Formats: sequence, C-alpha cells, structure tokens
Amino acid sequence: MKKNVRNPEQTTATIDTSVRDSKVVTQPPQRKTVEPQEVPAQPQKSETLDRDFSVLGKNVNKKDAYEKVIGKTQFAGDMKRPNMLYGGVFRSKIPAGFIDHLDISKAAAIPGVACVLTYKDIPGLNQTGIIIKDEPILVENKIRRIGDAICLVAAETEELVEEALNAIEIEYDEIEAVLTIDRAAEADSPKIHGETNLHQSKHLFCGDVDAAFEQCDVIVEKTYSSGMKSHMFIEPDAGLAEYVNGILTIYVSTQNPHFDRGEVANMLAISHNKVNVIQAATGGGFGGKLDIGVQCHLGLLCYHTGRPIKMVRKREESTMVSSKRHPMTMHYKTGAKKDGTILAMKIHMTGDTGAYASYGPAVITRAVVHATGPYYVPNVDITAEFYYTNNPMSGAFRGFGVPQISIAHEGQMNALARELGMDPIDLRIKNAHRVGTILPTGQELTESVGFVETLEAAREKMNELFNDETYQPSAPNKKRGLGIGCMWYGIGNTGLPNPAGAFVEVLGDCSVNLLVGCADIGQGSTTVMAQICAEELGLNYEDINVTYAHTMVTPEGGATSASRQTFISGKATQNAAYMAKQTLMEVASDYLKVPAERLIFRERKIWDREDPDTKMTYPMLMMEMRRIGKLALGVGSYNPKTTYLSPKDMSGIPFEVYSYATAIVDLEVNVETYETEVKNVISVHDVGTAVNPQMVEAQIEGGVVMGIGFALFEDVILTRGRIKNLNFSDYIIPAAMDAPKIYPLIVESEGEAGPFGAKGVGEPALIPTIPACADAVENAVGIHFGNLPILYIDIAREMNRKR
Amino acid sequence: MRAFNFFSPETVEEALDLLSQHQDSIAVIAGGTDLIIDLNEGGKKPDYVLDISQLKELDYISESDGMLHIGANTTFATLEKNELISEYYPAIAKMADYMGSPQIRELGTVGGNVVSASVAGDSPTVFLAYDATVVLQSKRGTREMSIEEFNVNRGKFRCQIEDDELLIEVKIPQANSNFATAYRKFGKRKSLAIVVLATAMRIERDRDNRIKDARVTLGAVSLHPMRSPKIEKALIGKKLDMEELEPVLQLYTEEIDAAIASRPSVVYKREGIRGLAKGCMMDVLEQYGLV
Ligand SMILES: Cc1cc2nc3c(=O)[nH]c(=O)nc-3n(C[C@H](O)[C@H](O)[C@H](O)COP(=O)(O)OP(=O)(O)OC[C@H]3O[C@@H](n4cnc5c(N)ncnc54)[C@H](O)[C@@H]3O)c2cc1C
Repeated sequence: MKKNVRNPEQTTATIDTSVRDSKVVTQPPQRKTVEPQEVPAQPQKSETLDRDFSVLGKNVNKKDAYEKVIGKTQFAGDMKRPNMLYGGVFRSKIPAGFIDHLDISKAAAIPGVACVLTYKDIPGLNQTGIIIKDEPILVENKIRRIGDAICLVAAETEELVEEALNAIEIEYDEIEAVLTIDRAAEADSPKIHGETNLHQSKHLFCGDVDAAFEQCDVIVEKTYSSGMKSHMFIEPDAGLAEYVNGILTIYVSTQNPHFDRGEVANMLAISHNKVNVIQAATGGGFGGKLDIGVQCHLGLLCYHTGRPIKMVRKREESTMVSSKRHPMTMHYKTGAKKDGTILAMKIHMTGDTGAYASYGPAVITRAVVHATGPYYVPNVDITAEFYYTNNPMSGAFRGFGVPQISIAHEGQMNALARELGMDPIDLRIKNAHRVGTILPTGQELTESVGFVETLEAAREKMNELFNDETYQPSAPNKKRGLGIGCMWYGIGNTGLPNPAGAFVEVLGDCSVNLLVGCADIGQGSTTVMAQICAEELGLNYEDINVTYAHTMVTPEGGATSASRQTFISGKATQNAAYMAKQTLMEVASDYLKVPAERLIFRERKIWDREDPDTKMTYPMLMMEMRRIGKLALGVGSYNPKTTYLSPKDMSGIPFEVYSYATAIVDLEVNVETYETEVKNVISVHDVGTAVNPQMVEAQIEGGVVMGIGFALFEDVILTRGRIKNLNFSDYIIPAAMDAPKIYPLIVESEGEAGPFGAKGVGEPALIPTIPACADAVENAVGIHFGNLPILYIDIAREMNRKR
Repeated sequence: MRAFNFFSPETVEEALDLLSQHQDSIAVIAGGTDLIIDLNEGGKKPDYVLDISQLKELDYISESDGMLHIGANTTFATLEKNELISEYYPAIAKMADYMGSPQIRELGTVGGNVVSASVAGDSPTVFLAYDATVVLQSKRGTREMSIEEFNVNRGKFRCQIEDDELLIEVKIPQANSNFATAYRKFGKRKSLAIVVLATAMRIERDRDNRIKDARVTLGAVSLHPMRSPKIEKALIGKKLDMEELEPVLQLYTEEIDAAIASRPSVVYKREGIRGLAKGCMMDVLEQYGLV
C-alpha cells in the first residue's frame, strides 16, 4: 500500500493546497473494501443528481407532529393493560465491592408482590452491552458502580414496588473504588474487569511528526478537557412488556429496537423471532437510549409472571444509570508554517470509560479519527487510552467523542490564528478539507466536501450582522466577544459494517406501505423516509405510510445514532422504492410503448421525458398492474462503503461521507456578576441534500442550545462515583430564556453517496457551537479556558486571579 | 407517594379546625410546588393533606393602616401582574418576575415560599429588606412576628410556624417617595434556577439625597437570609451617587468571606456579590431619578 502523504519528504513545507487538492496525490487504500451492494439495481445517476425535486427539499409536516401537538401521543409511560404489574429495580448503593449477603424473602412475602428476581432467575445469558458484553443484567456478585442492578421486583402497584424494594436486605463487602484514570492505570489498583483497567488504546499515525515539527515556524501546545455530561432526555426510560400470541412483546422508549430484541432473546435463551420490540414514542435519546435500559428487566419479569408489566424509571434513577458523556483530557501539539500551513499534530487523549464499556470503543475510535479537525494535516501521531473506573458508565452521547475533541482541535486553530496574527477563518480555509484531500487514515475525499462553503457562508452572515462600529457590549459592565468553531463528522459507524433495510409495497390505490427498522426518536426520520420514498416513486408525501422500529415486521435498521439514519436507512428506503419502481417502470413502458429509462415518475404521473404528451396517471398504472397481475414490491438495504481500520496505524476508510459545519457565537460576559449570555449564533451545516430543510434547521437550533449547555452550563458533579445532580433542578441545561437568536444555514454539497446526496446532521448540529463558545469567552475577557464547561465560577476565579 | 386523605375546606375557620384536629399528621398544600416534591421524595409522609388553595380569603394585595398586606395565597403570577406592586414595590416586582417559570409562578404562593423558607427561596431575602411581619393564626389565636424572628428553625420546620397554624399574610410598611428598593439574584440560568446568590436593599433618603436609613440583606449565604448591619451602617449618611456608594461594595465581599469562608462557592460569591449589589444601587438611583 502506498500513501504519499505518509512520506516524510512530502510532509514538509513543500506541500501546498494545490498539490493535495489534486487527485494525483494518492489513492485510498484498497484493502477489505466493502463489496458493492447486493441490491439488484441502483437508482440511475441522472435521477440521483437531479435537484429538481417534487417532495425532497420541501418542508412537509412531520408525520408525528399533529398527535404530539394535541397531546395524544402515547409514550410508554402512558400505556396501561388490564391485569398489569409494575416493575422496579433494587440497585447497589456502593461503587465497588461484592455482595456479601442478600435476602429477598421479606420483600417476596409482601402481599401484592408478584415476584422478586435475582440473576439466578435468568435462563440465558446474563450479559449485555452494545459492543462488549461486559455488563450483567443482574449482578451476580461483583459491584462496579453505584446503581448496578441487583434484584427485580414486580408488584400490583407502584407503592408496593417501593415497599418491596425497601424490604430487600443486603450487606456489601466494600472494596476500594477506582475513581480516576490515574488510579485506574496504576498496577496495584483493583481491576474492574479482567486483568487490566485499560479499556482500549488506539494509535493513528502518518508521516513523521517529529521531523515535521522541526520545519514549523510556530508550535502551539495546550491541554484541554471536558467533563462528564448527562443526556437529560425529557422522557425517562420507560417500557411495557406483554405476551401477544405467545410472542414476548416489548414497547419501549429506545433508539435501538433490533439490538434490544437480540439482548432480550439471548437473556431468555429463546430465538430472536420470539421477541418483538416495538419502539414506543420516544421523548428524546441523544445516545442515552442506545444501551439496554428497562428492556431486559421487563422481559425477565414478564417471562416469569406471564403478566403485562410496566417500568418507568424515576428521573433520579434514569440519570444515575443511563450512560454519560465520556470525560476526556486532550493534549495537543500543533505545528504550522508562517503562512498558516499546518504541518503536524501530535495528540494524546484519555477518557474515563466508567464501569462498563457501552459505546466506549466507538467513542475512542471516532475521537481519534476526527482528532485533527476538518483540516489537512500531513503528519499526525494520535494516541488514546480509555480506562475503566467505578464511575458511572460512559457511552454514546450526541457526537461519540467528537464534541470533546472539537474543543481541542478548534482551540488549537484559534490559538494558532492568534499566534500567527491571522484571521481565524482564513487560517481554516487555508487548511480546510476539500475534494481530493487525503486524510490521516489514507482515505481520499472524493465528493461532498462543503467545508469551505460553510466557512464562507458563516463569514458572510457575520459581516452582515455585525460591523466594527455596531459591535459593542450592551452595557458598561459587559464584555462582548465573537468566537468560531468548526467540525467534521463521519456519517455511520466508524470503520464497521452497519447496514439498514427497508420494505416497500405500492398499493392499488397508489398509497404506499413503507417499513423501516429505523427508530424515530423525534428527530424526524419517519418523515424523511416518507419523503425519500415518495420522491423515488413519483408519489406524494401523503401517499406514504411508514411503519418503523417494530422488529416483527420491519427489517433491521441499526441504531438511531452516528447521524446515520437519513444516510443509511434513507438509502435503503430509496433502494427499496426503486426496486418496486422497476416493476412499475416495466409495466408503464409496455403500456406507453416508451423505453423504461425515458419515463419520468413524478407527483402521481408518469410521462415520456422526450414526449410529455405520452403519459399516464399513477391510478391508471396501478389498474394496469392489477390487470396483468403484478405487485409493486421492493426490498432495499444499504451498508456504507467503508473498510475496517488497520490495527497498526488505523488506516482505512472509516466513513463513506462526512458532514461539515462552522458556527459563530456572539456572547457577552458580565464582568461584575460573571454571567455569560449567548446573544447570537450562526451555525452553518453542509448536509449534502437537505431532505427537509425545516427539520435540518430544527436540528441545528436544538444543537446550538445543547452546545451552549455543553460549553457554559452542564457538568455532572461526582462524589465517590455518585452523581450529586440527578435532577433538572441542579443539572443545569439551558431553558427557553437562555436560547440566543439562532441563524441556521444550510450548505448543500454535491455527492452521489446517500439518498439523493443527503448526509446527516443529528450530531453535527451540536458540535461547532461548543468550541465557538469557548473562543467567544476568550475573545470577550481575554482569558483562555481549555476546560469545559466554562462556568460563572470559573470566570470569576480566573478574572480575579488575573487582576 | 404514600396514600393520604385530602381535605379541601372553603373557609379559614374550617381549615384551622382541621389543622388543630390532625396537628402532627397533616400537611398544608397551597400551590404544591414545594410540598409535592417533599411527598414524592418521602420527606413528608402525612396521613392528611389540607388544600388551602380554595381559600379566597387569603388571596389579596391591599394597602391599609400604613401597611401593604399580601395574603398567603397570593401567587407569584398575581404579584407579577399587580399594579400596586409594580409601581411602588419594585423589589417585590423584580422578585416575582424572575421567580421560577411561568408555570411555577402560576401555582407557587407567597405563603408557601415564606413557610418553606428555603435557603434558595426568593421572598425571604426580599421581605427581610422590607422589614416584613408575618401574621399567623390558629384556633388558639393570632400572633405576629418579624420575618427575622420567624426565620428560625423549629423542629421539622425551617421557620417558627406551629403545627396547627396557618400563615395568613405578610405585611410590610407602606411605600413612600423616600423609599427605594432593589433585589438582584444570580442563578445558573435565566429561569427555573435555584438562587445561587441574592441581595436586596431598602433605602430611605433624606431631603439632601443622602441615605437616611438602609436595610441590606444577603440571600443564599447562610441558613436563612441575613441582614448586614456593617453594610447598612456604611451606607447611612452616604450621598446617593454611584461614586460615593461604590467603596461600600468591598464590604459585601468581606461579609461573604466572613459568612462562608471555607465553602468552595466562596470563590464565586465573594466576587459576584459586588456585581449584584452594584446592580441594586443602580436600581435605587434610578428609582430616585438620580441617574
Ligand atoms: C421548578 C421549580 C422552580 C422553582 N423556582 C423557585 C424560585 O425561583 N424561587 C423560589 O423562591 N422558589 C422556587 N421554587 C419553590 C416553590 O415554587 C416556592 O417556594 C413556592 O412559593 C411555594 O409555594 P406553594 O404554594 O407551591 O407551596 P406548597 O408547596 O403548597 O407549600 C410549601 C410549604 O409551605 C406550607 N404552606 C403553604 N402555605 C401555607 C400557609 N398559608 N400556612 C402554613 N403553611 C403553608 C406547606 O405545608 C409546605 O410545607 C421552585 C419550585 C419548582 C418546583
């Protein structure tokens, strides 16, 4: 394999943008490239690139909007069944130790208590975990965190559940809790799993960093860190289980129904088709509902009692045991030439995995792959280590580690701009990813790279909103600053297969049943799938009914995470629709006596592109289908074109496409009370094709506010492994009055990957605001903050230290 | 939440009967924005809950006998919209404006706030600056005490209320043109934020625009809001002019240092208090038309 960028001679100052932008530089590595799709035929290219859409790009109403607005949506917590039990979990109160003695007899004897279960009641596998199955469904002996599940209770009322939980007697044999990464790494620290506390380590390198640093005119070296965060989805984890025709059926608030199905079935040692997981309306997830929450506990209680059972976590319980954002520390050394050309980056990062792996392996891999930021860096050396501790379990949280490392790669860009006296946008444009850029993994970017456009659009909007004269603090005791942050984000799982599927049937009346596995957690995938399906078939949005995330009827959708569903389930939907359309095309072609490839399907009509008068309506076509006895059925799947990453240097193709974004934050700091107030945010996102621009904007707006929370408000407070701020009253997320004026802007870069060129925006929406806030604070008060969040107390401390 | 019996009396008299009957096993509920949390968390496990929210007798804002009377059932939303308050009692208006969120202001009552007497409560800090008196009533009779005396823990209560008593009203000396009042607080966000730090002041001026009398209170620095005689003394005699007032700000920092020197939050509070206090001073000057 040859990668010219990894050649030290090429990595010095001689490389300029013109060289690396030309495709001559290198070829992407070709190992283990995923085979082409097995779908019989792909939609034609001409149609894919045709931006004159009839349904796509339109702000159709979200499929779930009406029911939600009138308050009719049934969440799992609203569900009731006759003869229903309530379930609860007895959890550990210590972070580390062993169960010395457990007595459930008093609890089990309470009238109205249906059962009290321990690990002994699990007929199958007592292990769960999305990547590494290291978490017991019920603890057998060893306790690894506060909140570990030990027993389950089912009872006739919620009050009886409480009573039974209080009647369970336990004695612990407590051992030292490992609460810091430093302690975890020590040889003599207690081991949380197996022989070492090192959960994973990674090394990505290319070129020769040491040699390159010698060529640099400027070197910036800084340490950044990001604390633990909680998702605070508004609806706590909840579900209901019952047997329906002998099938264990679980309605649950989840992002991952197909994964849930397997975990429940394996626990009960029954086949996967004996479990049906149906996603209940889900009130937010942000990654916190990817892990198993109530699913297995519900399944086990239903299995043992045979009765319908409901579990709704209390807010405190939900916050205590759902996954958290990995706390990370990142040390960056960045070197550049006087003209701003970046030559080298050396990065070391560590992360706190907490008690169980959860999505940890995905977070470390993605963080490493994205660590350079959206910039061409020819010489890179990135090392990362994540450690198990007895802290709460870290996992997936909107961005899988990229929000954390964005603090660092953007902090470095801003520091570099200051050091060089360069405009921070010019510096970024100089080093920006473009079509043809070779990534540190050796992948060449071949299409859909709209980063520079996001920078330019952000600058234009900024100049329109602010100029040197009008840009003033609103009061004498305030200081105002603008900050910038950027990001790139690979769509889908990192260097791993992650397919999704779809089924389509066009019915005789031209309405369509579309079945997708994809969980809609409020972001609007159901709407997007319907738009894609309607566009491909040439029908209207209203013609499409979507059944989703229902494992007995919908195909695998994979997780609603990694900003992947529009791209992957969307492409699967398009492929399925296209398969059904092929039959329709054949029939229409025979009927109209026009070659199939000349036919246009649009807005319930079919016509010859060369002779628009040769046409038929969709109802006519469906009548013809019926007459000759054909069905318009389609099956589609899609697996992004990626490769596994080399264990040696992490080279390979981690993602098929990347989204890009730039945010500009305008904020004020009150230098007397140390309050910060974000006033305006411009957030520009390259999403490929915006399937539904209003929903993209909504994602951006929500992401901006969450980004402000990340940067300036949110922080999990831990004492000895226990989260002290479990509630909204003390885990502070921004509320409506804290939201700034937001300018969401969309850039549509061109590419053939994805449905009609669409990428993803779910996680990107959050990211660039975070580093932009940090930069804005620095520009307002002249103090660099590398540790986020930047709280009022930090500003007070630092400003008074300076004086 | 444990099951309980629920009473919803229509008169204060009825309510007082029930209270005296079930003294040690009854909880009063007004808006419920504090009590429900207590019930859910198991902090209180009453056999009876007495709903006083229907007692219209306790919902009033009026001036008489040189006093402003605020009935215990007055919600923060009512306070916020009341013209007497917004015109003449700016610190109360400000407090009502920034309390909780629209939903909480709609339910939460002055009585509930005063009886909860939370460290993070808004009204105790403000009422202390206004030199408020609370009026309590039981079958045994009626008694009055200053809010300062009232805000002393008694058993399970964070105030002096007895098991069989209802808070009837809070009253404060009526405003006149020589009074100016201000309240500033800091929370971790703009709404729905627990008070991290607060301060209130009531200034009385003389004819030469000098401070004749001052009451200054600090909130969220000790178990209950406290007055600062030291700051008050330093303010008295000062000209109502920012330049002259500004040196007093340092005393606020000293007061915080003295109160909470060893707590981690002191890092912020000792600095932030000057910002809040200066805000109060500016509000006062503005009310007097001196800026
Ligand atoms: C989301 C949220 C935000 C909040 N924000 C704020 C805030 O910004 N500032 C703030 O100060 N508080 C805040 N609170 C606390 C609370 O809303 C206030 O303290 C409110 O004023 C309580 O009034 P209530 O009528 O709801 O009291 P309740 O909950 O009904 O009662 C509170 C206590 O007072 C007793 N009680 C009530 N009325 C009487 C009476 N007349 N006589 C005797 N005893 C009585 C009750 O028995 C109970 O012990 C907040 C609460 C929530 C849930």
